[in-house]
Amino acid sequence: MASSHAEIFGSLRTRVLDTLVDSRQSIDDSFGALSEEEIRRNFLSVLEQMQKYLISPSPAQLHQSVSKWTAMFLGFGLSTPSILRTVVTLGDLIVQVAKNELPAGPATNLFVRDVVRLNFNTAREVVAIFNDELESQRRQNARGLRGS
Amino acid sequence: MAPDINASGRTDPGLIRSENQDCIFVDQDMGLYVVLDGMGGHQGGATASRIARDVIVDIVSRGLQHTEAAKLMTEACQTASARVHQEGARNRELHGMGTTVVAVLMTSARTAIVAHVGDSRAYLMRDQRLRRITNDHSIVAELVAAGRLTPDQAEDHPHASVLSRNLGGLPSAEVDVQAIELATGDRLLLCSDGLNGFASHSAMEQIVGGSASASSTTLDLVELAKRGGGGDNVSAIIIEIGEQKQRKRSAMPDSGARAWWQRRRLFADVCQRMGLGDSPLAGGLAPGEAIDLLCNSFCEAVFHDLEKTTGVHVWTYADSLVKTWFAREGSFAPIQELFDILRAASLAVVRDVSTQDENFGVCLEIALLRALIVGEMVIGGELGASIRQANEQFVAAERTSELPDNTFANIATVPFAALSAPMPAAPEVNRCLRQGMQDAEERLAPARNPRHAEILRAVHNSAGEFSGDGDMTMTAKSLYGNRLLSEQELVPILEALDACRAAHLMAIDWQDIAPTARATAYRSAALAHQSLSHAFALVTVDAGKPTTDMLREMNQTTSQMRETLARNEQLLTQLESTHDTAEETLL
Repeated sequence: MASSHAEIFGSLRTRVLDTLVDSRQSIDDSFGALSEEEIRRNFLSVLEQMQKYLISPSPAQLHQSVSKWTAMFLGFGLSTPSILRTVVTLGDLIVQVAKNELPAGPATNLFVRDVVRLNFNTAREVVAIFNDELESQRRQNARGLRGS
Repeated sequence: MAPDINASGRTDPGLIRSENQDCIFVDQDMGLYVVLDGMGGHQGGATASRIARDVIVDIVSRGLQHTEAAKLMTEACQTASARVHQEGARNRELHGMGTTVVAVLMTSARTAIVAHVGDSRAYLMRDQRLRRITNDHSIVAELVAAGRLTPDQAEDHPHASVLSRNLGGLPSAEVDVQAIELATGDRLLLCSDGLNGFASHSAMEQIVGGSASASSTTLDLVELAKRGGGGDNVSAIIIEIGEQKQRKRSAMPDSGARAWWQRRRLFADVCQRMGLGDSPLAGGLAPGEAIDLLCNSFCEAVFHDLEKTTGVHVWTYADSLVKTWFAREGSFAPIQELFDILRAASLAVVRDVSTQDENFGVCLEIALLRALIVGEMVIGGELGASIRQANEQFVAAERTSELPDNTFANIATVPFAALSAPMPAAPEVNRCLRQGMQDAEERLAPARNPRHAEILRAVHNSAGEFSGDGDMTMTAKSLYGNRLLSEQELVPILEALDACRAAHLMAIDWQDIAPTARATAYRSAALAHQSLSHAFALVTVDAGKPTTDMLREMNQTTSQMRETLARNEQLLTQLESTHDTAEETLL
């Protein structure tokens, strides 16, 4: 099942990337400033890591991947809410492309479910990273206030 | 048996605009339904849409018995255009106002006459598909019709709403009129661009094709537009042909709402077993009350979202819970535990459904996971806000630290290197900016121009404590709205920008604080005003781009034609000369 999902995912990847490139500005204004090539390169790596997760779901690997994506999106200039919205939109986009490209039926539903599960886990990881960041910021503030 | 007609309409200012310039008219006895979206000038938009509405209603009611319906609707819209234009020409404050219109006149329970001008739309919902039946009268839409833009390019075009026709822009308006044959179960949706501009087609399709009454559907559509940003006034009218029961039967089994609701006891039992009653989020309520607050409310929210295929109710549930919890300085862990329990209980419901119908269980899990993702997004949004707040506190603490100025610690590592992101202003500068904005607002209050507040807020955010977050392009686009590109449309905005700059800078200059802080605040505000004017100029130039491109191409074509003409004239001269020579030879 996992390998067939990975195959389906692989077959949709180009269409997902094309849609991403076309609609990048509507996902976040910061993406509008990036070249098509840059968007393709960076999101291709995100999609490859998602595909790996679908083959063998590993929480540790997902945590590592999501940390990288968060850093990458911060580098693009996205705000924290935008980062979360972007990863969720990416999952929605894969689902939308799957529904458009694949025949309706139980197999497609199973694929979509696994992508939505991945999307949920990704959102959860991003939220956990935000919480870690907040805790670290608060610790830093407390040290700063004590120091002054 | 003739089908029944049920109709309902709703209009709302949205989340950004203080004034509602849309207006609607719904009269089932008369069979007339109208949505208008006004634009231009202080109070001009609202005045234009209301004048046009009154004229249309008056003319249709008087001509209903003895004029052919399509002709009547055309006459009503054209007269409305003339009246709005006349009023705009007479009153300087209303100069340049206009309005869009989409109107339906039901001539029988099966036939609708649809008239429209501008970008307010009519849709037909039939066989679970929502199909647009009007074409926008915008420059971009006309470029698509001419094959110069693809529909996809048009959808993303920054000036998709620049109109090519409206009521009031000219004394007479060209009106598109069509007759639509309706069947039992059909629904017509009339809306302003505040709906379709802030909601996806599929979300609108799901809501209009849902089981809710016409009244609830319009409410859901307005909520949908607000959830999408609510950046414009939003209006929607639903006209449904036939009985509600038929729609309900077809919508309920697919949504999973019924299956979910039937298992609410199972959901509550799992929540209770996993200790939801003891959650600190219940704030010391008895376990039974806690279950009711945290579990049953979630259950109801999911039911309504499944029924209507939206995420609005779960969002509202999570938003209220998470905001209250963080406002009480609650930590992240109990929130995450609560959502873990809700997720586990949801999956128990999915497993139970799957024993009867595996595929339906898979679909239900997809829907429930999406509801839980909405919850995560709310938590993430609140954490993001807290991170920003903590950052601001850190920066403020750094700035008020007691290091003397110009010590070695304050010298930049690389001299003259500017920071790439603006730093927030010092507290006394912020105080000066805040007071300056309030004084400027008071000074400009007698003008009662809602743009003044919008401009001052945007400039203040960009100049002061939210430095770096102020997006002048967005403000400039909001100020530009969907007006026509003409001097009379732009002058009121340019005047508002001027008035705000003068009042704001004068107010800052009069603040009684340290001269250095005052000078910094003055400079920040001046730069922010300059940025806004710059952004507005770019938005205006962008708005004219499609027309400029067309003009450039036309110039090129004209120049080519001139060259061809010159060559032909030269050829003609040669032919005439040859002819003359031949004639002379013959003679």
